[in-house]
Order: sequence, then structure tokens, then C-alpha cells
Amino acid sequence: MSQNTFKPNYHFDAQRCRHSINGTNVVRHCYHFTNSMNQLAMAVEGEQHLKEAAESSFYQILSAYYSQQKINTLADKLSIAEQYWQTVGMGKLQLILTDSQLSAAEMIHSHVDSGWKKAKGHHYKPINFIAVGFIAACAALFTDKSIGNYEVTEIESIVMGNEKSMFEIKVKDVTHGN
Amino acid sequence: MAIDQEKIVAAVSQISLSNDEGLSTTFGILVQQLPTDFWNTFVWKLINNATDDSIETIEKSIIKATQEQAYVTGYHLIVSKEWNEIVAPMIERHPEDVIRGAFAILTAWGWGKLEIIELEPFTKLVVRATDYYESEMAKLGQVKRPCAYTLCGLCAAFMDLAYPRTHYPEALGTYQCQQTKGIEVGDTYGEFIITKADV
Repeated sequence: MSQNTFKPNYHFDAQRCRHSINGTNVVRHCYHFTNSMNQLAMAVEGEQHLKEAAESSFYQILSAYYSQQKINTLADKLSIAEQYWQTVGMGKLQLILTDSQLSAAEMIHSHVDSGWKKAKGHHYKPINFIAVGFIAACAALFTDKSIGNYEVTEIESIVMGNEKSMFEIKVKDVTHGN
Repeated sequence: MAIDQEKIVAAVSQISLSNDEGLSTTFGILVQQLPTDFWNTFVWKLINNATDDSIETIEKSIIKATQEQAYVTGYHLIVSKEWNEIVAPMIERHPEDVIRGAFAILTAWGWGKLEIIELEPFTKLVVRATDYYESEMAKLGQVKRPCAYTLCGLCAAFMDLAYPRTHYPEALGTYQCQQTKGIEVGDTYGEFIITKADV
């Protein structure tokens, strides 16, 4: 098996009735749940909390995987991150590098957008807060930085009627408190 | 044959999720399997950034959001192919066994071990939960009161479906849930009491 093939180790603890992937507890939720959490975040101005929770959680998971599996090259790290996103059912994400930095990302299939469209149709603004956090985590990991260093913006969105969701990634300007 | 929770959990937990271009489907619905730590962190941030004045509103908003989703999800579960194959043959009494079967599926999905302690049709449901992932919110910091909001919404929604005042989808909100015990606040299990909602 190639170094850049993500190896998910699924486990169900029958005693506690809990699922895990590579030792991390996971829970199965449907798109109605994801929709509700997105809608909740928007209703109570909690979008940033959703992004930050995703960034911190996925940063730890991918970081641990890279370390345990000795994934060292940027190309392998990128490929593993894309496969992880697909494995957990969040969609098909393509991470794009420019000068060894994550500069953009595209999502051609998205759990969040597909679920929202099934339940509610189109929406007037992007809703991929979890993906934004995930991509920010990847950007930080690929440059050996900590979380909170990258600003990710969804500039095109499937739920708004675009063919794919597009994300723009920039280094945060910490001097201005962004 | 009565509902055999262990058998349902064993069967459902082993269902491999399809993965077509990163989208997984089971029980006729798209599902994801994200880290419990992620969901807990999100809710924790919502609660801990709330002011004393707004915290109750935020808590009610989380419960309402999960009650709405569980109402729709529950409906889809019980009309799915997998339900008909695994759970439906065990159903003897409607709707009590339907609730038990639905709880068994959520247990198999990793929400927590859910057990019905008391069921008074159209009036009251008491659920006991152990090993529920929301109890791990206590690892993120001090928890002042029970915070298994998702389970609250879920339990109320299942009563909405089982003992509706009218037809789907109009019966949402017929019931309300109060969490009276929680592992996250030092109890040995979580307890959820579902009664008719105040009108």
C-alpha cells in the first residue's frame, strides 16, 4: 500500500456502543443533523465556533496520523487529508498548492451542501463552516504552523447554485487582529 | 419476537457505509461520521460564550434544532429498507416497539446506550442513557448543569413521532424533554423525562 493511501481502522466497541476511526471516537449523524447544526450556528451567530471546533479537532487528528504513519512529504499529507475528508462522508475535496502553500480548495461533492439542498433547496450564502475549519487546519499542518494562522473563505458554493464549492486561503494578518 | 436491542445494535453497527465520491448513505439518508470531540467542542463553545442572559435561549435553541432534525430523521429511519429488514420483523406492539427499535439504531450509531425505563402512552417517557458522547463535554471544562442537548431533542422527537397530536410533519413539538441527571455532572447515568409540551 502506498504511503499516501489513508488507512482507516474502523472499530465498534460493543460494550460501550461507540465507533472509532484510528482510535478517535466518531458518531454517525445524518444530513438533517448537519443541517440543524449549521442552521443553529447561523441563528445564534455561532459560525465561528463551528469553524474553530472543526479546525482544532481535525488538526489534532491529522497531525497524529501524520506522526504515527510517518507521513512527511507535502504531497502525501495533502492526499491523506483529502482521503480522510472523503472517508468520514463529508465529500470530495481537492486541496490546491501554490509555492508549497495551500492556496485554494475545491469541493465537487459535499455532504453539507447536498443535505441542505435535499431538505431546503438553495441558500443565498455559503454554509460550509466545517469545511472552512478543516481546510484551515490543513493549511496550518502543511506549513508546520499552529491553528488560527489561516483565513479560509468560501467564495463559490454548491448550495448557492455553483457547480462546486471554492475556497480561498490566506495567511491571517495577526497584526490587525484578524 | 420482541425488540432485541442487542441484535439490532450488532446488525446496524456493522453496516458498512457506502462511499460514493465522499458521500455515504445508509437507511436511505446521507450520513457522516465526524469526531465526537468536534461536536462537543462546538456546543461547548456556544454555551461558554453565552452570557448569563442568553444561555437559556442558546440551550433551548440547541434542543429545538436537534428535535427538528431527529423528527425528520426518525421518520426516514422507520420507512427505510434497512428498517424493514432488521427492525420491522421484531415489532409486536405499535408504537412502543417502534421507539425501542429507533433508539437501538441511534445506539448503534454511537450516540449513547439508550434504555426506556418508563413509557406511559401519550403522556410520559423516561429514558436512561449511559456512554453517551455528550457526557464527555465535561472533559472540556466545568459543566454546571446537564448538557446532553442532542439526546433531549432526540427523545422529544421520538415521542412526537410515536404519539402525535396530528399527522407528520405537523406534530413536531408536541413533547418536550428535560434532562434530570447527567454523567457530565457526576451522576452515574443520564436521565431524560419527556412530557407534553406546554402550550
